[in-house]
Amino acid sequence: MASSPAPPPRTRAFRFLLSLYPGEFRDEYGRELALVFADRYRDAPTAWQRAVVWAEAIGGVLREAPREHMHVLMQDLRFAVRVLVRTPGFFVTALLTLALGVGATTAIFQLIDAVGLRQLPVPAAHELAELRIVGGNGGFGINPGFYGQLTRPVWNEIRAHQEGFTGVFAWGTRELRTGQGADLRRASGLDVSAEFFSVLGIRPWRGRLLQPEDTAAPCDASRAVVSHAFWQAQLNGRELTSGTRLTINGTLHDIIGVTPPEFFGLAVGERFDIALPLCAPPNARREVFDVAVMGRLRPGWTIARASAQLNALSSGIFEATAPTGYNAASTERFKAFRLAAYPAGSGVSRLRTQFDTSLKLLLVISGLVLLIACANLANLMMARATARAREVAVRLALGASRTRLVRQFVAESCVLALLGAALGVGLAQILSRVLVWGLSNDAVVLSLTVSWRVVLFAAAVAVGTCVVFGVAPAFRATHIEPTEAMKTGGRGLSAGRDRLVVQRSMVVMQITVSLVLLVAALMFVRSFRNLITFDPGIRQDGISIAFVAFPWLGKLPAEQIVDFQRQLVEEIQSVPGVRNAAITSNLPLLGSSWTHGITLDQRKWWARFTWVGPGYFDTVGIPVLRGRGLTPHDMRSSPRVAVVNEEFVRQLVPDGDPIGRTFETQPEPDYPATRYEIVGIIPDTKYNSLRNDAEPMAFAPATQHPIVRPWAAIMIHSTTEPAVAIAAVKRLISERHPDGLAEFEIFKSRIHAGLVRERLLAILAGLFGLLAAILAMVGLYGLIAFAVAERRHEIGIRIALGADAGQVVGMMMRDALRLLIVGLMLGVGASLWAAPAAATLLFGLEPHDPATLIGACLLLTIVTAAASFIPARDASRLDPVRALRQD
Amino acid sequence: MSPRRAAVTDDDSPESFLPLPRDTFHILVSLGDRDRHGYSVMLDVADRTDGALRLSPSSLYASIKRLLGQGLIEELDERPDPRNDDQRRRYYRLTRLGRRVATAEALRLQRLLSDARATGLLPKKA
Repeated sequence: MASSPAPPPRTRAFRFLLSLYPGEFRDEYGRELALVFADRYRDAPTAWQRAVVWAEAIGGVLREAPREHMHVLMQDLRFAVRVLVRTPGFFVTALLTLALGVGATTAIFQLIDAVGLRQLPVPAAHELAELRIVGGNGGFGINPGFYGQLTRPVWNEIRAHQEGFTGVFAWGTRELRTGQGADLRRASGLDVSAEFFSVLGIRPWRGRLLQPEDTAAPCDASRAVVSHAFWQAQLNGRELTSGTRLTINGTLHDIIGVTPPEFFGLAVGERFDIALPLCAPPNARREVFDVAVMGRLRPGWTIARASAQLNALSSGIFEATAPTGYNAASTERFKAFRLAAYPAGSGVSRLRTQFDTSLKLLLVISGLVLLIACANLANLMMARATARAREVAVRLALGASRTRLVRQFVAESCVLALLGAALGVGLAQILSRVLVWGLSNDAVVLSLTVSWRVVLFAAAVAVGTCVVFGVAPAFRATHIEPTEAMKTGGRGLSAGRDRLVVQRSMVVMQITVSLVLLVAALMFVRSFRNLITFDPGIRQDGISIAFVAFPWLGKLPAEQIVDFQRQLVEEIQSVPGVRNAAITSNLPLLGSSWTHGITLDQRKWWARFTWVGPGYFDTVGIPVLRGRGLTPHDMRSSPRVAVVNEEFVRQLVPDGDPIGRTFETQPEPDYPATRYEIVGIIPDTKYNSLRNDAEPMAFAPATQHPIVRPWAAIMIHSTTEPAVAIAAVKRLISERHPDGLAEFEIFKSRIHAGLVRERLLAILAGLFGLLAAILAMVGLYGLIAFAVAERRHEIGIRIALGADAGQVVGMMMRDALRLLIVGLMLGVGASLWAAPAAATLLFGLEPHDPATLIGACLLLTIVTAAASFIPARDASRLDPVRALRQD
Repeated sequence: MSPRRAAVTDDDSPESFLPLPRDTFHILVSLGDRDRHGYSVMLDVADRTDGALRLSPSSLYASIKRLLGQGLIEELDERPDPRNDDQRRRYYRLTRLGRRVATAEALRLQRLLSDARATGLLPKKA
C-alpha cells in the first residue's frame, strides 16, 4: 500500500481543533469534518474568504464541542441512574452513608461559615475596619466587656482627628434590665455613638434610628432603638407611637425605632435587644476600656494607610487621655499604646474566638468520618465491579473503549456522590441547627443560611468523594482480560487473596482512622468529665447567687450602705434552709477578675483581689489554714486586713511567717494605694476559671472596699436545693424590701454553662468516634462476608475433610485479626502524631494519655471481633455438600 | 433539550417533531431530491438561500448526528450516482419518516403563509 502524502499544515491544524470534541464524535465524524473543511478552503477564491472559512470553522467547533460533551455526559448519567436503580439495596445504602458523611461535614462547615467567614449584613461590609490598640491593652485599667477595646476619651480623640475613614463610630455592649420590681427581665444592650447607624448604612424598619441629636444631650438621654426580634417578642410588634415607652434600668425610655430583621449588631453569634445612645463626655473615666471603635474606609484608603495615620496620631491621643491616679510606670505604659486599623467586614465575635480551634478540629474529624464512609463505599463498588465483570468483559469484547467504561463507572460514583451531597446539604441544615441549639445556653444567635461557600464546599466534598471511592473500582473493573472474565463467569478473576488487596488496605485504613477518631472522642469526653468533676477548692453544690440593688441606697453615705447590706445578709442567713450567705465583689469561676499590682517589702508582684463579707469562706467552703478569716469586726473604720492564699505566700513571702506582714497596693483611679496586713492563709483555689492555674489571691473585707455601691452580689449556701432557697429569699426580699431589685442564679448551672465548648467537643467528637467505629465495623463485616463467599469452596472442602466450627471461625477471624493489628499500629502512630493539635483544648489530661490510647484500642478490638465473628460463624455453618455442588 | 428517541418506529407521528429547527429543515429539504454528502448539503443550502444561510461543518455534522439518531435520515451503504461518486465521502438519504416530517413542516409553513394572506399581511396572490 502506497503511503499517502502528509496532509497540509492547515488540515493538521483543523484536526488539532477537532481534538476538542469527545472521542466518539471525533472517531465518527472527524474525517468528514476535515474533508468538508478542506473542500471549503479549496473553493474559497480569495484570502479574505479563506480567513472567513477559518473563522467559521473555529467558531463552529467552539460552539458545538461543548454541546457534544454535554450530550455524552447526560448519556453517561442516564445510564448510571438506570444501573443504580437496578440494585436499590446498594443504591440506598450508599446514598445514606454518603448523606451522613457529607451532612456532618457540611454542618460543621456551615457553622464555621456562619461564625467566621460571612460578612456583616450591612452595605459594603468590606469597607469596615476596627480601630484597636496594637497587641491589646495588656489588661490595663478596667475591662468590663468582651468587646471593649478603648476608653471613651480615646474615642473622642479619634473622632476628632482621624482622616482615613468617611465615618467612625463607637459601640459597647452591656447587660440591661427592663421592667420593674419582680418583673425584671434581662436584655442585651448596645451603646452606640451618634454615627453608628449612618456609618453602617442601616435603615430603620420602623420609626427612626439614633442620630446625633439623640446623643447631643447630656448622658441622661431617654431614647432607645430596639431590634426587630425584641420588638416582635417584647412589644408584640405593635406600631410605634409617641407613647411607646419601656423601663430600661429603672428609667422610662421612648422607643423611637426598630432596626431591620437581619441586623443583629456587630457581634456575630449574639444579638442585641436595645440600642442606647453612648455617653462619652469629655470627663469620662480614663481607665475604663469599654468601647470598640469602627469606621468605614475613605475611598482610595487602604487598611495600611489608615493604620499609618492612626499610628502617627497615637502618641498625641494617648498623651491627651492618660488616666491619673496611676504610678509613673503605668502611665508611661498607657502613653506608649499605638492604634491601628484591622479589617472588620465579618464583624467581631466572642464565639469565633472561643470556638475557632474546636470547630476546625471538628471539621477535620467529620472529614475523617467521611473518608471512612468513602472507604466503605469503595469496597461496595469493588464488590459490585467484580459481580459485573462479565458485563464489562462483553462490552470490552464488543469494542467499547476502556476510557469509556472507566467514565461509565465514574459516572455512577458521581451520580451517587452528587445525590449524596444534595441529601447531605439538606441533612446539614438540621444538624447545624441542632448544633447551635446544643451550643447555646441562651443567647447564641447565628443565621444559618446556605451561602455560596457552603454550596461550593459541599460540591468540592462531593467531587472529592466521587474521586476517592469511584476511580479505583473503575480502573479495577476495566483492567481485566475479556477472555479470562468470560471463561470464569466473572468470579475468579485472579487468585482470590490477591484480589482483595485493595479491599484489605481500605479496611486497614478504616481501622487506622477510626482509632484516631476514637482516641479524640475519648480524650474530649474524659476532658469534659474532668472539668465537670474537678474540685476547684470552692463549694459548687447548694450555692445560689443573688444580685440585689436598691436605687435609693445610692444617696446615703457609705457607712449606712455597708450597714444596710450587712443587715440584708443577716436576714438572708435567717431564711430557713439557708446555712450561710456573704457578699462578694467578684464571683469565683465565672470569668470576672480584679487585679492589683502590689509591693511587699521590695518585692513587686500582683494579686487577684476580692472583697468579701465575713461568712464568705464558710459559705463557699474554703478552710482557713492559718491565722483568722474575715469577721464582722473588720469594719470600714478598722485597719485594712487581708486573707491570702498559699500561692500568694509562695510568690511574695517565700521565707518567714507571712501572718502579720503587710503589703501595699499600687494606686489606681478610685483605688488609692492601701497597706493591708495579712491576717490569714487559705489554700489555693481556682479564681475566675476552672482552667487557670493557681494565682496569688487576696481577700479583703467587703466593708473596706474603696467604692461602696448601692448593689451587691451575695452568695448563699443552702441545705435545700438552690431553687428552693432562691424562692424563699425572693419572698423575703419582696416582703421586707419591696423597693429592691433582685435576680438569682444557680452557681453550678452558671459554671456548667461556661463549659459549652468542652461539652460540644465531647458530644460531637464522641458521636463522630462512634460513627467511625460503626462504619469501620460495617466495612470489616462486608470484607469478611465477601471473603467467606469467595472461599466458600475452600471452606466447604475443609468442613468435608473434618474441620470443626471452631477451626473455621478461627481461620476467618485470624484474617480479621491481622488487619486489626496493622490498623491499630498505624492508628496509634497517627494518634500520637496528631494529639498535640488538641492539647490546648484538653483539661486534666495529657495529649499522649496512655489510658485513652489503650481504651480506644480495646474498644476497636471488641468492635472488630464482633464484626468478623458473625460472617465467620456463618462460614462454619456452611453445608459442605451445597457449597461444593454450587461450583 | 430536543426530544430524543432511542428507537424509531413507524408509529412516530411526524407532528411530534414540529416545528423543526431552521438548520434541520434546510438539511431535510436539501436531501429531498437526491442523496448527498455533507459538503453537497452545505453548498445546496447556501445556493438555495442565496448565501443567507451558511452552515458551518461543525453545526452540519451535529445536526446530521441528531437526525441519524432520530431516524429522519440514514447513511447509504451504496453510492448514489456512480458518475458523480466520491469514494471518500459518506452519503445521506431521507428515511420514510424523514420525508413525512419534512412534508409536515412544509405544510405547516404553507398554512402559516395562507393565514398571513387571509389577514392581509401578505398580498392575496403570490
